[in-house]
Amino acid sequence: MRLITGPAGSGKSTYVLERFLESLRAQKDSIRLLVPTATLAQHLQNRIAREGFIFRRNLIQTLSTFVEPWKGNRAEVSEPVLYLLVEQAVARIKRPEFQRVAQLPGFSAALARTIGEFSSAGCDSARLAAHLPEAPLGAAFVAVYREVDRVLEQRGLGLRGQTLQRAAAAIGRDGIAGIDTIWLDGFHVLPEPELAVIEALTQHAEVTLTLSDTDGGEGIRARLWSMGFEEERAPGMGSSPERRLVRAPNIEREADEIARRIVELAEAGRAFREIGIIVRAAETYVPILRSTLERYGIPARFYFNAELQQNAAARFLTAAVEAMLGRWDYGMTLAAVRLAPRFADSPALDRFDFEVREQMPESGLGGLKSLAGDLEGPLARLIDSLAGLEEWRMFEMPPADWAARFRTLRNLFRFARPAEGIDHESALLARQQAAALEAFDEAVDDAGQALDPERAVGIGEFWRAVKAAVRLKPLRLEDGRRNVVHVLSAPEARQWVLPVVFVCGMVEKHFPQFHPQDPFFPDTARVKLESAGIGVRTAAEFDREERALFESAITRATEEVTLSYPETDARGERNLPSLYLEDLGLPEETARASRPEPRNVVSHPAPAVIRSPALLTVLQEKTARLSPTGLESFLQCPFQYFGGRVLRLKPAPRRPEDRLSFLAQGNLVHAVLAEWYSTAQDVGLLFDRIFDEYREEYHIPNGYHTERLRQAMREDLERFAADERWPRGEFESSTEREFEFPLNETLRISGRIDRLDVGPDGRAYIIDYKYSGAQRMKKLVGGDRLQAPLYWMAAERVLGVKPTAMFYVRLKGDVEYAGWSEDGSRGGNPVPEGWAEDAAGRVLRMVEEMRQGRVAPDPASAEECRFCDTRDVCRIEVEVPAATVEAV
Amino acid sequence: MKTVDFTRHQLEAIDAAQRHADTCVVAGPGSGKTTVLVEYFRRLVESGVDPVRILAITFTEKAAGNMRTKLAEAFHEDSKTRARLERAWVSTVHGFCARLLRENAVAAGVDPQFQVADEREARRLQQEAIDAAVAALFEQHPAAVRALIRGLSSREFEEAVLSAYDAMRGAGMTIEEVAAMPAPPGITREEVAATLQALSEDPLDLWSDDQRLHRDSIIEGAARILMASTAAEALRHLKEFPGNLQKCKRGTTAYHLVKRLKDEQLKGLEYSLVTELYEHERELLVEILRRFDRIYRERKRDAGVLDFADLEEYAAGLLEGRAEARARVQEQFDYIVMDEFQDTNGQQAKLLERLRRAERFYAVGDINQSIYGFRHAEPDVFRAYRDQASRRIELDDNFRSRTDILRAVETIAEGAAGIERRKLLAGRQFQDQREVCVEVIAAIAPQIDEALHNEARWVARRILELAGEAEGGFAFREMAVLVRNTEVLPEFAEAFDEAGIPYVVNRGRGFYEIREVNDLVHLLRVIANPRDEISVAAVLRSPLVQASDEALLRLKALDANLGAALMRLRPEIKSEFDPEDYYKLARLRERLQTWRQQREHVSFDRLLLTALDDCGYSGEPGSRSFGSIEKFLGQARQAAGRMSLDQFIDELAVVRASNPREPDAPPQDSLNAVSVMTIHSAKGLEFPVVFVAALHKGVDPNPPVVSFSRSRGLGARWRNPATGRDKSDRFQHAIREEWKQREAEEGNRVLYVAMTRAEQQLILSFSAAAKKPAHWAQEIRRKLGLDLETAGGGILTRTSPYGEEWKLRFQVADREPEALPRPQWAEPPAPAQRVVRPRITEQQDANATVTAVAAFAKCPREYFLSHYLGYEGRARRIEERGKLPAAELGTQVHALLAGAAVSKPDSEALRLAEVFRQSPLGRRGARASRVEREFDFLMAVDGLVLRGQVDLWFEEGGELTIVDYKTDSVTAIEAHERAGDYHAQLRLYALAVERATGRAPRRAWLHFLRPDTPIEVDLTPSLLDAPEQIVRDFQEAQARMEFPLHEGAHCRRCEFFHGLCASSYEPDKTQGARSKVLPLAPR
Ligand code: SF4
Repeated sequence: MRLITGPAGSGKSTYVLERFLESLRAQKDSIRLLVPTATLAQHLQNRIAREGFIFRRNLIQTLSTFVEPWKGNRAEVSEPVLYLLVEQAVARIKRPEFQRVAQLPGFSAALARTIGEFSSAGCDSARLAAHLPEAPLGAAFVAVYREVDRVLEQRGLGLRGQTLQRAAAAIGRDGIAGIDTIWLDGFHVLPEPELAVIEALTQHAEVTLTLSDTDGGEGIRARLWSMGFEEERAPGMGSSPERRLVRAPNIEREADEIARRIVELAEAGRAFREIGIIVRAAETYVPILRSTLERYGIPARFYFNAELQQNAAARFLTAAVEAMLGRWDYGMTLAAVRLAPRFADSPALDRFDFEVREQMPESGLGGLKSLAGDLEGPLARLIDSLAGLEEWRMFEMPPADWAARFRTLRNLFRFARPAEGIDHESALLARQQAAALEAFDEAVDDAGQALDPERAVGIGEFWRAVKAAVRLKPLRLEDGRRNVVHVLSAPEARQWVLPVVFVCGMVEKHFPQFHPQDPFFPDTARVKLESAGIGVRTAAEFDREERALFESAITRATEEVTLSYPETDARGERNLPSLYLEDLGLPEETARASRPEPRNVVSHPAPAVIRSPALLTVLQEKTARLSPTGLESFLQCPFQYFGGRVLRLKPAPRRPEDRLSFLAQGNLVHAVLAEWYSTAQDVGLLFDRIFDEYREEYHIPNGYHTERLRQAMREDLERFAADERWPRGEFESSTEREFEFPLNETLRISGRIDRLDVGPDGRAYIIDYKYSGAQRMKKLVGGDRLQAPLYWMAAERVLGVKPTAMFYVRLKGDVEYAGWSEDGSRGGNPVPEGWAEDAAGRVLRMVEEMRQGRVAPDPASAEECRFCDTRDVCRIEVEVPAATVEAV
Repeated sequence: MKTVDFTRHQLEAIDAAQRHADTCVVAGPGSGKTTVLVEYFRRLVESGVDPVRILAITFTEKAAGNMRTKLAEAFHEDSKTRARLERAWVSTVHGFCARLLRENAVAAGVDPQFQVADEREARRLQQEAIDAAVAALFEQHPAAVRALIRGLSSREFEEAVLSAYDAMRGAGMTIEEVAAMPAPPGITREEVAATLQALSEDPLDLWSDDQRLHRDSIIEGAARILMASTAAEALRHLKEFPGNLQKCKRGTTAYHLVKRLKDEQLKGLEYSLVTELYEHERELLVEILRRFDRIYRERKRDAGVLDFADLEEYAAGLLEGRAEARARVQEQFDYIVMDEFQDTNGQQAKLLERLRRAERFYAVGDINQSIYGFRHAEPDVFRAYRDQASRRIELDDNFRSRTDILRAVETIAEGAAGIERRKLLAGRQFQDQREVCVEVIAAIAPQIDEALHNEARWVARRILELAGEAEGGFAFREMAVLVRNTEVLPEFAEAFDEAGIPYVVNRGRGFYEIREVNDLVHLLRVIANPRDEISVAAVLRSPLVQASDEALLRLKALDANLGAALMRLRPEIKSEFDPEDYYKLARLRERLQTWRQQREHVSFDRLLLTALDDCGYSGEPGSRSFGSIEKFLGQARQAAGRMSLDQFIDELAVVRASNPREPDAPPQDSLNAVSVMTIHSAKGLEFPVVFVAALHKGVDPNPPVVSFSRSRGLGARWRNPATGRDKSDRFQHAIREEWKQREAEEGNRVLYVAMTRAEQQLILSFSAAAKKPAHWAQEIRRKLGLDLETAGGGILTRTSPYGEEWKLRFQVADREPEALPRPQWAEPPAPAQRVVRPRITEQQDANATVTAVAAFAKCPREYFLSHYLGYEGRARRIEERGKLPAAELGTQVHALLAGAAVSKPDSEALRLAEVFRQSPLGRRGARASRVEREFDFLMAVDGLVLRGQVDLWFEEGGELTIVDYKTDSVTAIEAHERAGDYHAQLRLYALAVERATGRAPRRAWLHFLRPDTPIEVDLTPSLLDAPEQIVRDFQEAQARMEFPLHEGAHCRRCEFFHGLCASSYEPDKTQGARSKVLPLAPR
């Protein structure tokens, strides 16, 4: 028995591999090379196969596959099943200590994790109970653990540690026929169960084990000596790569810098597969590295699992079931349908999407189907297939039957035919969908396994279990491409050797990673457990491990290793560089700003004007008849007019609570007043009726948002009705007076006057309601407006009256009259000299401009921009009023 | 650590020998308190304290980071301590609470895997929760909610309720505690009655008859108010109260009684009546809070998050709950060191109280720098501690500012409410002399807007001058412009843009209005649904596409919906567009297709990045647009893990509508730019040059429609139905007074903090309309005795309250300054390097199974769909219970034939195994001289590592034979048809056996077991079908991602036929022609 030791990167693995190859050359097949992970096994297999060997695959395998035949018939429990069992155990055991947190998902997860940790350390609940250190939650923990152990046994399942220990016993007893030489390489932690297996192996074969100097404490070494291992120092074939340190302003720049350097290396002939990026803080770095490497066109393989619950296929299936449980609420169902892959780029779905949104909140598949358009079309068929789930709600059945049924759920998810000329990235994404469906099935099986097999349950209970399992299920992405950059976690990287390595995120708390204490067994308790021979990790152990990970990370490269760190974090706070960097004392290089070459020729801004004769004709047609409001819009800004009146840009449907927009409120108030003037009745009741009709028609929900606007409108109308300044009885009123008249041969003005009041003396008053604030009202009267003179003209020319005054009536908040009158009555301003002529002249000039294609944004009042519907299109930056209290 | 010369007071402060005494260090501005704190920490450690047993709490993340950095430097040489520092408790209060809770999650009753919700997320959850709470309440009690809406002075009250909720939590109070708080004292009916009594009893000497009559009507009117049976009625009477002092006899007792009645009591009574009138509505508000609280907590729970207030609350709860937990946590820390103690809120104070052990607390603070009252800080906590601590040390030396700056601060702060009088001792030595280092610029104009416009230009000008000073000019990054109210920032931003001054602005609001951010948001919206015409138009006009307005008009002519027209763009209509436009539109259409396919599969930032990189639209690093884009990309990246694109878009719409504070991208130090920020965010910072600008602009000290204060409770402003005017209830009235009072003091301290940020030059500026400065400006004019009458400037001399003279440059500006030439960049930022993407090769897989390669040989497309992508072509059926799936049957048969143990084998499996054993091949195998079963091999062919498993090969008379069993059930005819599918597989097996043994197998058999049909496979292939060639084709196909259809009779057996595969194979037509390779379908 040999124990090969040496510092990280000293060539232990190379040494082992040489010995293995020697035996292979000698055609021995009684040998085994055992490694901790499947990736490493495959990596070694490939390497050896490429050297021209042909050999049986099982000569190189992971320790857990190797012991498979000796494991017996208790299957290893998966993480989701363990979680669900823990959750059930907590509920059954009802410990007062856990009462407040028992329902929290993270609690059972944490408990399951710690149980898993104990099991991996070879400590089952009985052993823990026997050595229970003082910890406030210790007893409660053991109680749950014991219950979990009991149920596991009942279900024929086992935790990893226990399974290994059983295998060790079987190996000890039955031997390993046909194997006489075993190498174990790449193991960094050797917990008790693994040691037990190794010990059993030593009884039947010659075993060689490698161990890095930073790995395994004294206890483990002592244990190995006792098994008869003899230490040999590694020959020290390791190389010493060149080391660099790069500082970047933030993680984005850091990722850019890594990408830039990789591109440079590639240009210099370095294959991507010879490059690795080692990541310690995966959550922070994996997303940005994915984005950045892709941007720079660098193919990379990420050795990280994704989360199943985030995958689109899994989300689709989940959303479909949730929608069914939510009785086909439109929003929920739409969320599912929008994830259906065949509709990702479907105009039919786009239309459907907006139509459904316009009707939300609502529910029922029938209604949805009626919105789907073609009843035989794919969309309608998809809805029909969802309807198939309807009956599931009614069933009660044993978990196994539920599982069988749920495995058919994937029939809802119909892949789109892959596009021709698909690239690798897209193919991988497509592949991930298929993998997600598989993983979803596994989660379903987990749920089936975790629930009591004898008891028939309803979908609610089963689905809850499935969701929990989906949440915990990792999603592995197979990516076997040959020539890619390897992005590895620090533990994964321990088994790799690559010419060029980047180690990113060298800042405090990321590397070394910070491990808060376990909520069940704080460090003091763990220290005691450790001294009782139960190898759970203590803070000191974590520190040692982090250090070992770092040592290993910087020795993975044979030629160069580049460490890097961001100066600031995402919030702009300054980072503290990792303490590990202090010891290296490397000179710092600064990251160079870079970005990928645009893929497309950079295009030039087009002039904002319409010049083409054909289009000018279109404009001519569109401006043959104009309304005063349209003209005012042009007056404010030609682009506003172009966007709103020529292009008639329509935004996405509003959210239900926003449907009662300013415009809608204005329309409502106008409608009420028009009717109120024609039929004398209580304005409040009239409003109620019209409001209800309106609400119905425009799907305005009857919530409190609506209520407050309703109240406001009603009050405003009542106030107006009660206002005595303009006694209704004194006039003959007509409402909604439409008009149209020519201004010249090519231009007609048309519009509608809200109200025309004619007094007994024949004097006519033009009234226009405004449902807006006092501010805008001021502008209406103050500015160079067109509406008033044009109405004036209309009244004279078309409606056959002689106007005396034109008043705007503000209805919102307060009743306010403002306008012009010839005799200065009712507080009106004097009517300007040559009002109508002047307006007509201006209109004609404006129309000339319109027809000449003037569309460029040019707001007359920048403040008005805030209320403009096209403000997002014109590219004018609108300043928003700032806070009135301190912004910090 | 470099040695520092500590002052006597500092030495006292850092004396670790005194560590067993509660200590309060009163640290004035610039007094080197960070150094002191670090040094004290260091000395504690040196005196043997384990760093992990010291709890150090700072106010900001930045300060914590700073302290950790300095400690790391201090212990650089001592690797053991340095390593311990990694676990040291040096953080903000929130950081501390988070860690404490994580380690004591169960005892504290929180989810052990909680995440801390950032402000944005917490806000979203809060908004959703309050919406749900009010909506539910409205559904259950519509009348009550209607009454509430009608009653409150503002119909939009949710934001106010939320901020009251925040305040309550900051104060560490529960809703029930708040609900139980009595109304603050106010005028009672009895008091009014007493006055009336006195008035009625007054002899009214000297009053005329008319006046007496008026007295009677006063008494009557007031009596009506008092007698009213409801508050509403009383308010009506109150409105009609006839009292008119003009009609009373001046100077008499009765006059004063009437005056008191009218001006004090009835006014006060109105608050009481409003309180009474809206009692139920106020209760409803509390109910809304209750429900909101419950829903918000539930949602946080479901999301597994805690907000900042939760961190404090649960941590305090942990220490309060169980004595055991408290003792354990207390025991964990030997010493507690706390910075900026004056800015602690009620909840934090509670927490510290429970955490502290006697005589182990070390706090640093300064009342004069307490500026977080509006965020519920309670400086009294500090004051009380300071006055009772065993040790109190005052650090008065200022190591930051020039003497004259300190003199100016003293002069301005003298006598100001809320500021404790303290002399600032100049402790810093400056190499050079500056003639004048304090300036005041007053911009005057008839209108305030115009004055502000000018002020901003003068500030800009001054910045340029200071930057351009021949000797010792300042770099832009050395200057800061501080304001109190962010409303003025746009004006300054505009002025700096005009002047060409680089700056970074802590913009506060409007992040989502920034052009670049707007473009990206709309791009996401178009990806989600191109029927959104606003978004389509926005994207088309943006630099992402830069289509012309003509193109928009043309598109619109094609379809009523702009987006639909874009999506239907076809080459046939190309001629209708300008060629360049058409190219741009077509390109967008094409890219959209890809993005839409990917939208749920990749993070949103990746979609955006491809769009940005497509056209090179991202600005230069360091520029503001670049920063904004980067920041938005970060948000998109984060969101991608949590929600669907639709949800993200919805969230963005909501967030934009609520216009939250969202600072610009964090400034990068490498950037040489002026910092523009609020005074509050400048806390703890220092700059050589500081402008405190827009001094005339204060903040609104009025509480919102619903508000909370720890001492007063929950107040609201209502509508007095009688007058139609707004009126506070008693709570709100008291809160308003409190706020006014606080602002009166805190405002002064804010100015104090602002001025003391300056090291070398302090410039105060303000605008005044009609020469009447407001707010601070007015104070400054008064204190400094400034004359705004005459435009122009000069140097003045002033004397500090301590009798020291200092100089001031004062300038009155009544117009815009002349513009200075735009600055030349001393070191223009290097443009970003454009990186050309590398050439990609060898994208084929490193490994494959023989089965996959064989499937490829049969039909590349089928291989691609089923093996490469893993798709299934057929719908699944519900499996029957107890029935062995086909694949499992195959495994069992293979295992049985390999002689492996099979527990509980299926009877069909046993039968099939027997079929083979009894077959001639089986018997030959059994007799053979050398046999290998289940030969599971790896071999490399042309660089590809192939994995396969030969069921059986044997040697018989020197001849090698390969056998492969098939367990699928077929007819004899089918068996022959299918045999062709397996040729490649067996040839690869033959190759493996040949390599393993050094001899080529002669014969190969496929043995269908259901029914028993052996078929021999020819191993002498044409060159084309040679295994090496198949592998090469295979790899090439993978590398190029080209998998053509291979249509033929096998199509009928293919699961993708008439589904995911486009094969149009029809048996009749193609009969005879066994198969043909079709080129890829045209794109
Ligand atoms: S926001 Fe202003 S500039 Fe833009 S279109 Fe509207 S009015 Fe014109």
